[in-house]
Amino acid sequence: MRRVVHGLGFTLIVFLLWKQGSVGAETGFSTFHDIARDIGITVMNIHGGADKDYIIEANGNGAAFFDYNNDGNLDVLIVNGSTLDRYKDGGDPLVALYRSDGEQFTDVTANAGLRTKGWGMGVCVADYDNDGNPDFYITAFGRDALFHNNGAGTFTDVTATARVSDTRWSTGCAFGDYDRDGDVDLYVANYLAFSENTIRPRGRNNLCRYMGADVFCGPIGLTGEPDILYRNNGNGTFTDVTSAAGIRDPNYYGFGVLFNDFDNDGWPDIYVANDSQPNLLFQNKRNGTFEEVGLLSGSALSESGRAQSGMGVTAGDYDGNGYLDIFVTNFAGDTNTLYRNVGNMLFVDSTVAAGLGEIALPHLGWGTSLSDLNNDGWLDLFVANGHVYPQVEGLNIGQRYLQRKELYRNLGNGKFLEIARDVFPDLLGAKGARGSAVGDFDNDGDLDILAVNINDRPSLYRNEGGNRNHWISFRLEGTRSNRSAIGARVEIEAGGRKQISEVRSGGNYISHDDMRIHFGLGETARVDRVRVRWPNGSTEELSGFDADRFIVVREKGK
Amino acid sequence: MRCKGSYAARIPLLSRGGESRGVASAGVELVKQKQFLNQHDDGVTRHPSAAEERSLAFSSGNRLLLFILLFLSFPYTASPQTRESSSVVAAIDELNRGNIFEAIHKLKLTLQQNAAPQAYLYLSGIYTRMGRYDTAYRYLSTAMDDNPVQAAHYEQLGLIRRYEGCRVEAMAAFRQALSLATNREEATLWRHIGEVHVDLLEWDKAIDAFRNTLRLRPNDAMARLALGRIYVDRNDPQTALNELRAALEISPAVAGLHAVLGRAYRAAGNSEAAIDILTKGIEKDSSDQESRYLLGQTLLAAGSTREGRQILRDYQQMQERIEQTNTLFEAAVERARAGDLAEAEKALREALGHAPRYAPALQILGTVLLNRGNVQQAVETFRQSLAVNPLNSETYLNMGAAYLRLGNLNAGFEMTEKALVIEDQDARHYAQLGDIYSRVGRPDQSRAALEKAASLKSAPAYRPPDPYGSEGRRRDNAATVREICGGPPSP
Repeated sequence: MRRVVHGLGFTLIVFLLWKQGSVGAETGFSTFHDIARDIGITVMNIHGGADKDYIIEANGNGAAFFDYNNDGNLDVLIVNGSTLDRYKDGGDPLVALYRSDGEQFTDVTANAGLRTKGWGMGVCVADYDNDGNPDFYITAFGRDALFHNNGAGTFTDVTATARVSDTRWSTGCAFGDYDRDGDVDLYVANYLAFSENTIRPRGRNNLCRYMGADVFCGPIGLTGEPDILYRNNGNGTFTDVTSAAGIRDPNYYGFGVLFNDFDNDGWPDIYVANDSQPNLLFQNKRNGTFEEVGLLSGSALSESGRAQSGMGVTAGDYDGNGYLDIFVTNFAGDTNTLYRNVGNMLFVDSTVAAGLGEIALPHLGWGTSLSDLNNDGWLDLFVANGHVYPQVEGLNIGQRYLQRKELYRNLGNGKFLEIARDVFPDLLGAKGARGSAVGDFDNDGDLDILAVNINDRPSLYRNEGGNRNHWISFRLEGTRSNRSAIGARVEIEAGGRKQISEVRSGGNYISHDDMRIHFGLGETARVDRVRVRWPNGSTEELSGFDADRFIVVREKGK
Repeated sequence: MRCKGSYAARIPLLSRGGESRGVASAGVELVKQKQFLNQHDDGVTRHPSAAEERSLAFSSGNRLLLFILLFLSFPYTASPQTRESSSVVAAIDELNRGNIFEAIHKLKLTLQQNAAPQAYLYLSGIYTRMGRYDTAYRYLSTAMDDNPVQAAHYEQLGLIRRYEGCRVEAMAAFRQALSLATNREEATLWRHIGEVHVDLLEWDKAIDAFRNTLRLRPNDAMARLALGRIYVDRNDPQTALNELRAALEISPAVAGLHAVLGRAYRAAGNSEAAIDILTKGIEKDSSDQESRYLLGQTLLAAGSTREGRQILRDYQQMQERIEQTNTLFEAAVERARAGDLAEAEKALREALGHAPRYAPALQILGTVLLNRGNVQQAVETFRQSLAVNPLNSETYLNMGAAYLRLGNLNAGFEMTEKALVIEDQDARHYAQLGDIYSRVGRPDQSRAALEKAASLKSAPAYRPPDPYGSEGRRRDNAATVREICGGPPSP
């Protein structure tokens, strides 16, 4: 069913009405099943050897949910690594692209022209040239790659012409329109300078030990690489503006990246999770420059002032106070960290208070998402885990190489309760998970989870029953703002509560989530008010939607 | 895999007797310098009873104070089997005064005179805290050859294994010690066991262990601190506060206590008390960056924006100095290894501009100066390095070499001997000694020393030393910040 609704100066298209079943049980959760193989997502990840003799072999890959052919079904892109031997011969295919027909996925990598080889790491998606087709950027060890979507199911590698061919070891990336000029810019996190010729392999350096076991060397002691910010010139090319924009990364080991508006001023800030070093928060000064405020904001370190091992990062308003909070995944033996945004660009480490401390200690976190997985109106928390050292097996130290995932239900009182152990057997399967992406791939009104497993096949966890609660989903399309509407904020009022979310590219662990904005509504069957703040700062108010719909909102035209 | 087993049956296989017993082997004997022979047989009435107390002595902020505190807290009444000889007592007296070098020397002289198991044990404890675990293990295994059933031996083994990162092996050793322990020793062992449980992420078991410590020794501040830390991390600030306040009353000098108390007060919603205790923490120890960070954050959250920002700026400046110092130091070592001594010297001087008491930088700078021919400057730099850290054999060795170049054989000999006091398994030390003996016309002693050097070099595990490698390890920030702030260095 497709219906076009004209509102107050904007075009509103309600193209799908959907409601399945009644409002669910108390938690709203039913179960998650790994159906990746059943529906055709079977690519085997290549990322170094089994023993992980070098750090390059351990960090794994990211993935993306995005609708590359604009048919309404989320497609899947999975990034691939390589091995040291094969990389000497050019490496392995950077990506595998799977097209969805709504039920099954088909590998269309070759047909899409995605034949570039190398050692891929992560991915972020955006329509950088505003032509209506989502493009994507692949970070890599070696040359990164920007793929332009030709609009006919094919892509072209435009890295060189777009001038974004960073050859350092890149990891996370994110698109965002930091200067609000109507096209998306690009931030790329770089990790460290790796060379097999200068870094000793595992077992050949007395300093490279973990709990008494010989492990690969790094990152501590190795030379970090600075991040880079590219400004979109609006003509298909980019310019490195890192220095001019005040992005001063002291060669930290960068991983996850987010563009989000943390101070509610309408301008996107940048958060970078760094491995073994302080995280960075660049506050947008609204004049094309940033100021790094990580330390002063309380979002750079643990509560004790200790740099952690930032891997993945996500943001969302978990406590409903109108500010986006930050969650960063960290190393085993340490907690992940929840930075509660209390306003005025101040964050409080609320990890322990939120119930996210002790339980996570044995796990080494990577992919993560604050998403309302049971549609009760509160953002739940997913964490994909897997150790970097195969050598922890047999040490009897309470840590394993392959690890289960964590799923925390938001109790709505500032606390989370871990529930994967109780009700989600598939999430408990031990895997070497790395990147993950969240999206409603089957368009059934609840969010599903895709995870890349290192040296293994991926997992796609279908959410079975999250849609027993009500929900609403928005796809935003910029006209004066960037076409992907990245940076747009949607605020809804439903059942007496306000919720906020932003359209985002990248994030998670070097991955890219569904860019549609999804709200759970609990038992509330109607949204009273919707307010959209577009990336260029303009706002629009929409009123009154019934729940359980996918809605496309197009920015008031040029 | 690096972790070795922790059971008694394996220990004698690794090093039994022979040359590991001291520096007197192969005909090479330490010169008994006057100050080292000035033993104090009359002054010591209390001794540390456990390896951990021994070890802790010179790792913390104030060595002497801590030793005295430990002695007062845990008076030692030795059994007839463990009562130390007078020379060991004299060595302990030196430890008690914070004179670690002299203590090592006395203990080793004791070993030249007779087999003293306690001396091996003390040496093991000292080398453990110096981060020289292989040497510590060597002394321990010799001690255990003579008396393998002492709780203190297994306690020491557990400490070595824990510091090596081998938690499971450490736990096994502590458990073994517990089975042999007296009531008095049990309290400390339970604390060690609790600490390993924390490492292994077994918090419930850790709590039980720390409770056992407190049942036996209610005034164990470290056990209360450990419990308080767990309860803070378990979001139980009230229970944490009870433990931490008690710890503060027992021993306000315990490292890290103020910061954890600050966290507990903050978690309990008492910002005022948090600010007060964190401020006191910084006043007590200006290198307490954890308290400084927490104070800044607490002030900001409490709305004291200006004060909070100022504290965090102080924190940041300190962190930047640490980072710059470490980076410059590492770059200097790299340049020196590459043969670019001019650049190495420049970077080291810059590093020392940030942290004038940065002993590793002073030591490497001395070596660089020596290799650039600035011998007199090198001697002076080594002297400064030794004033901060008198436990680096490399510094003594190189200072000895510098004196030799200046033609001062006596001073060169003295320094080489001191190098041997700290490290008696380095071929270079014996080679230098042999050279000196040769120059002063003592061919027999020269030959003995050179033979010892050749013997060490021929060992399968021998690796040619890197003249700039002794300080090449990545330093932890805590060590650097103490050197920037003027606190005592890490050994």
